[in-house]
Amino acid sequence: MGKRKYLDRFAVFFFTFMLFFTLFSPSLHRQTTPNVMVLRAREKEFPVTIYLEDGEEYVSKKRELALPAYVLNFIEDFSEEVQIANVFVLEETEEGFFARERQVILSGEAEGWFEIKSGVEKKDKLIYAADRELVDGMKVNMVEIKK
Amino acid sequence: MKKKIRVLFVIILTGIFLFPVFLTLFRSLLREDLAGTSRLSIVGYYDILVEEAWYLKGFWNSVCYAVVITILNTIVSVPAAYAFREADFRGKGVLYFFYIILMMMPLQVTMLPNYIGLRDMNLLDTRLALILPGIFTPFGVFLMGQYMRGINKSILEAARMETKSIFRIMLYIALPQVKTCIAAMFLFTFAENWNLVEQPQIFLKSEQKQPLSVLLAVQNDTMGTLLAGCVIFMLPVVILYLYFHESLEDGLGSLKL
Repeated sequence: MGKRKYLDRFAVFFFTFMLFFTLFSPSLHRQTTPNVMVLRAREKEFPVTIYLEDGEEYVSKKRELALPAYVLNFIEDFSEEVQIANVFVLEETEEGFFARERQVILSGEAEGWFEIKSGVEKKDKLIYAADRELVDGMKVNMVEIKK
Repeated sequence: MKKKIRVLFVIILTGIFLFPVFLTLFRSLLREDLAGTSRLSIVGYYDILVEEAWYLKGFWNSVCYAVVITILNTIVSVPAAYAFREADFRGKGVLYFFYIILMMMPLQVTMLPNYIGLRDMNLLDTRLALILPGIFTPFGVFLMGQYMRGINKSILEAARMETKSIFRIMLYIALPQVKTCIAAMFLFTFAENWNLVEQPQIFLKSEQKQPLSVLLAVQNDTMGTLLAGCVIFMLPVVILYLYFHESLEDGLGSLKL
């Protein structure tokens, strides 16, 4: 009889638990999904050195797509010219926003901005701040786009 | 010595059957971080219950299908089996034989006639497409019919002296004697309909109406999250088994095949 009593309690608890989540999971989800702030890659001026035929150096400027250092999570440093870093890109689907981890290859640096060789395009929204630790594929709420 | 070998054999067999269950439970509690190291966590359970809206929808769909089909199947099977046991009519043996043949047939054979019937009744992609064929499965009638062979005929004849109502005799005399078998049938039917896969995939198109058994197989999610979903999915059947396991043993033990 005692076993039956515990079983009754467990069954009631289980279905109440499932009912609770059915009713309140949307609001729980809203409260616990990390809020993120995003920005887009921008064109920045990077110095470029041109060597003329007579051996003279000519310093010019080029405009390239770049990312600020605080977006990047550096993982490898091949040389002074080429670096590899991870970024979280905001993916927009019908089911909402997701954080996707992506690898970018960077080259020169100027005033805290890194020139992008590959991995990110101008239209991509990059997560630069989140109120929880992000994991690849995590659902997120976008709260702000940095102008 | 023989007993020891038998016990060892049973333990090994139990281990083989329980291994996938424990593995599912264990893996559902593992979570890989960015560095690729696994650690114990209940994030999978949190994700499946809070982040994945499809899971709870599928869970209640499964509850709805399994409960409705099981109750209606029991309501249909018990009088049908009693009729096979008590009523005398021409062709009873042949009809019962066909019932058994129908029960032996693989699901895939009856799927096409069911599909055509449901299509002609415009019931495809409705909840009734799963419920209607489920109610009239012959297994319950067969199981109850075999168990009812054990009912003492003299008791039924004595009841007939008191009343002419077949329904009352069935309800007050026959049913109390087959309670354990009804419990066993209830458990079998519930478990079968809780794990529906082929029928919903063929009869239902919209994801909104799919049971959890189908949704778990088609969702693309992390392993830990899906396995947490599998663990929760197992619980209703386990609860029902714990409720009815004594009746199941009694019911199947006294079957006259």
